[in-house]
Amino acid sequence: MGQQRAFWLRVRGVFVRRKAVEFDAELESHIAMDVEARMRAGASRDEARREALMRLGGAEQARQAYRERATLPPLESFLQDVRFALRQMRSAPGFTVTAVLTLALGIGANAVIYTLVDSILLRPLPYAQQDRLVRIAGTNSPLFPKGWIRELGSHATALKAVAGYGADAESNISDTDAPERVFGATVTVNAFDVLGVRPALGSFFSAQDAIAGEDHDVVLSYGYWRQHYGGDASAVGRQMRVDGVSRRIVGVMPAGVHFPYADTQFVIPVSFKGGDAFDPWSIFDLRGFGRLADGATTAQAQAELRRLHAVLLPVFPFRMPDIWASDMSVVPLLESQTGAMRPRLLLLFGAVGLILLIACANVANLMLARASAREREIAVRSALGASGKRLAQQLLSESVVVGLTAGVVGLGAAIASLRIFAGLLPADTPRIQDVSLHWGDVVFTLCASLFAGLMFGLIPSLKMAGMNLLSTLRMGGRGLAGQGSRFGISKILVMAQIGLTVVVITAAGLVLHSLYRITKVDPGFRTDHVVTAEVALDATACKEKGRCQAFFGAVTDRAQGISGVESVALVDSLPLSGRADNYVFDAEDHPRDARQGALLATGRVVSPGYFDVLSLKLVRGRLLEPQDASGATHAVVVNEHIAQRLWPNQNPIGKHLLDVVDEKTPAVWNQEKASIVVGVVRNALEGGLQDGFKDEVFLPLTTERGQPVMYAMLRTRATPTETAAGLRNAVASVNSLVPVTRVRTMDDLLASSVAAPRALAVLLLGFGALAIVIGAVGVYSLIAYIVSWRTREIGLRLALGAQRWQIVMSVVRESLFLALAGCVAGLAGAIALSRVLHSFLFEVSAMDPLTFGLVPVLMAMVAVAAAWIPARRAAGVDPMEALRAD
Amino acid sequence: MGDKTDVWQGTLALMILKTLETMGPQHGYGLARRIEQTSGDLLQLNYGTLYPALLKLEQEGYVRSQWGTSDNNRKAKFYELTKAGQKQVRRATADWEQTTEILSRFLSPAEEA
Repeated sequence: MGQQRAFWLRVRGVFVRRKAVEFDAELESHIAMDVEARMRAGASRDEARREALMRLGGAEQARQAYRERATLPPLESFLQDVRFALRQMRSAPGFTVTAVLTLALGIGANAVIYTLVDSILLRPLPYAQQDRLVRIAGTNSPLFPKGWIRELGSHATALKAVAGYGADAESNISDTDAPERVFGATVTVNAFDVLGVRPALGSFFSAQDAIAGEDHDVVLSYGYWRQHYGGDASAVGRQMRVDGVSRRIVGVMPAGVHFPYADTQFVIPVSFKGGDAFDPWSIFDLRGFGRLADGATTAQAQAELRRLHAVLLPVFPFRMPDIWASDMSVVPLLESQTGAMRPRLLLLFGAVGLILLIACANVANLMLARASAREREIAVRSALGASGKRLAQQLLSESVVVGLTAGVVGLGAAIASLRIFAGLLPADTPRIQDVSLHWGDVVFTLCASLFAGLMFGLIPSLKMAGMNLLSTLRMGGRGLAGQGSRFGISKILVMAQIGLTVVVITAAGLVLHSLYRITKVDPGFRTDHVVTAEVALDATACKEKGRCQAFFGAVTDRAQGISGVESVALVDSLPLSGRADNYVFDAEDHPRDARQGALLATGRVVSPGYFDVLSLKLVRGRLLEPQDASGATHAVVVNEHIAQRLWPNQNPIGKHLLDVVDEKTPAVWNQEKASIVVGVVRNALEGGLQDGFKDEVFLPLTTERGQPVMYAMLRTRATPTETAAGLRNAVASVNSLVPVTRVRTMDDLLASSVAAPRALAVLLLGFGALAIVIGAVGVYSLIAYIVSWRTREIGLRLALGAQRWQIVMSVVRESLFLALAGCVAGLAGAIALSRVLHSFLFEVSAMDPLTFGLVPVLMAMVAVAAAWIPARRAAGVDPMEALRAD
Repeated sequence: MGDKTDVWQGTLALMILKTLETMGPQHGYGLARRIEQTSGDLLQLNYGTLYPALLKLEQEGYVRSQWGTSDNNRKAKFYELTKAGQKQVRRATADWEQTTEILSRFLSPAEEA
């Protein structure tokens, strides 16, 4: 207690000097009393005073001892150092601005990327004990029927509970006349209990909601509730129409919970039809997640689920292939959400880490140069009794002050630019809406700048503290010849800088080259002048037989009449959108027994115009035609890829494919019901530019295949805006209540399908440029410093008849040598990292000769440019003045 | 060196506290004289070390100080014990007695032998 109190009083004493002033009076009164007493004993005044002072051990010593007790000497000397450092920084503004700015750039870049890493990868999900939540998925069977989720939950012991959620889907919401397209999802009724979240308002689903017919409830997201009900508590209990079904609002999710998807605005319960044995098993539409039981690990849970697989598979009321869901994996929920973004962000984090090191080396060099210039000052101070430790401490505090100043500037820059950086990431980046600066990020930044300060301060301060002060004082400044060896550390630092810069720009170059390759990929279809839009009937619309087909048929007809439109198509999932349904089928000549899984391909339900709109070339047979819509022809079109795989070197025309809608019946080949391949089209990259050709089956839009949500695709000469307006009118003229949303051109889709590699390339390129700038400053300042040291030598050479261009060459040669050595080290580093980089590259080797060849050329140019001004200055030296100086 | 000072500092603090307890409020000079007298003039107190020791006790909350007037009508700073200081006197006295008692057990048999 007492000691703590004393400590804080002493800290206070450092800043409040009242005590020390008061002590002067106390001391004076003490001496007066002592003198008086001694005079009373017979001493003369002078004698008494001398004795009194002697007994005190000297007035100044007493004051000193008192001051040391009143304050904290280490803190005081530290503050002294800081004040001294600030004075030094003010007196050398050029140094200060260069050091602080280059370091601030490095720290700022780190602060931004760390904030992104923290916001997206590290920060816990807003659920109770979120690290116990896991995602359950099979690699080739990501979707489970609700019965499977239920069985997993009741059998697994390593999992406390298992829940499921459906696809991120838009629904028509109408509490007024014009329906609105709103994202929602289905969830099992236990989902929120598993997450461990409490409703902000009302309640979540009850067990009752799992029974079909009693499930007309809906839970809103916090954002949707605020936006559409103004945060009114009476919203709970009201009705709202979701896809034509009236549902009661029972509760509101808490703020900050975006579940299951970032854009989810409402969730509705998954319900079971009592007495229908097939109902729990027929639709494969749920993704699984769960909460680990206490003490269980993800590995245990995964092992148990794989064991349970064999036990639970026979629970299906029909025969399931053995491989289905046999490879279920259990991964932490957070990890499963951040997925592909994780390695990209970590790569960027690595890049900015290197940039910080480059900046540190820069400042270390500047400090070294300044320390040499201050050698005499240091030598004098040391001669006056400052210990080596004290001097090192002082120099170190100087660099820490520079580091922290740069940290504050960098943090400010990071705060100002965070939004811009977040905007550079692809829009579908997980948790992108949660990106914000937290205290942890500020602490990280300040720690990084402190670390940077210590790092770049250590070399100069050690060097200086160990300096031979005698020789410095004797030499009285600089010798005639440049002291070659004294630049040793500086040169190594600059080479290291260039090496690190080379690593960063090589990575940037590789990713850029890879992006270039991606953009040069021929998708196999034309994306220009195609406008797409979503046209959505209520989810239940197709239950009225023929209604969907009739509606979309009418829309197609009217859309043909829009001015500028050349052709019109409908498709159930757009190419390059990343979404497509699986077509599960058996193929002619490929018999299978019931234990095997059926064949899979990407299936697109299309209107005949699809091939025309995208200019997909026919290779054999015929394309789909209007008469195929009746279903009587059983026609399908496939791509070359699947034709080659199923029937190599045979004519695929006339071969049969049999839909495997569900597995209620064992696999029995029924040629009567099968579809017939009528045409083969050229391979196209509809799944994505980087994914290679896939098996594709194009199915005609028949009555059975009618779907409530279709995408219209219009090849047009008009602008997207005009075309969209035309389409809205056309749809409204068929049914005024059907919304037309998400208008995008195919070119937009193409661009956003490569948004992730583009964002990575843009950011890495920016950081590469930053690395070059900071590295160039490093080269420049070292060369300039060397030139200034060698002024006399250069003067002497000129006087002895050297040509000015020879001087220029010698300076540039020095710079080029540094760059070359750095390049060798940097390229070696890049080769060492090629395994890491490999996974980010598309059709570019991690040791791409083009990149590896261009980077040294670029670095050589930087080296020459950085050496140019010092070289010119060196050449401009006046021999007479240089020799006369000093 | 350091060790000696520490012991000295510790014993000086106890001497100050004990003197203040018996004599009541005192100024620095009076305290110093009193300590010398109590020691039978065996102790040569460096007056310069007294004030940091007093400041330390004040920082720890065992004494408080106040400006006043001395017997000779001179302005002086007076120190007095606080409640915590009174407790500290008892605690430190007990500690010291125990220490000396232990030490004397080591020292007396040596004298006999």
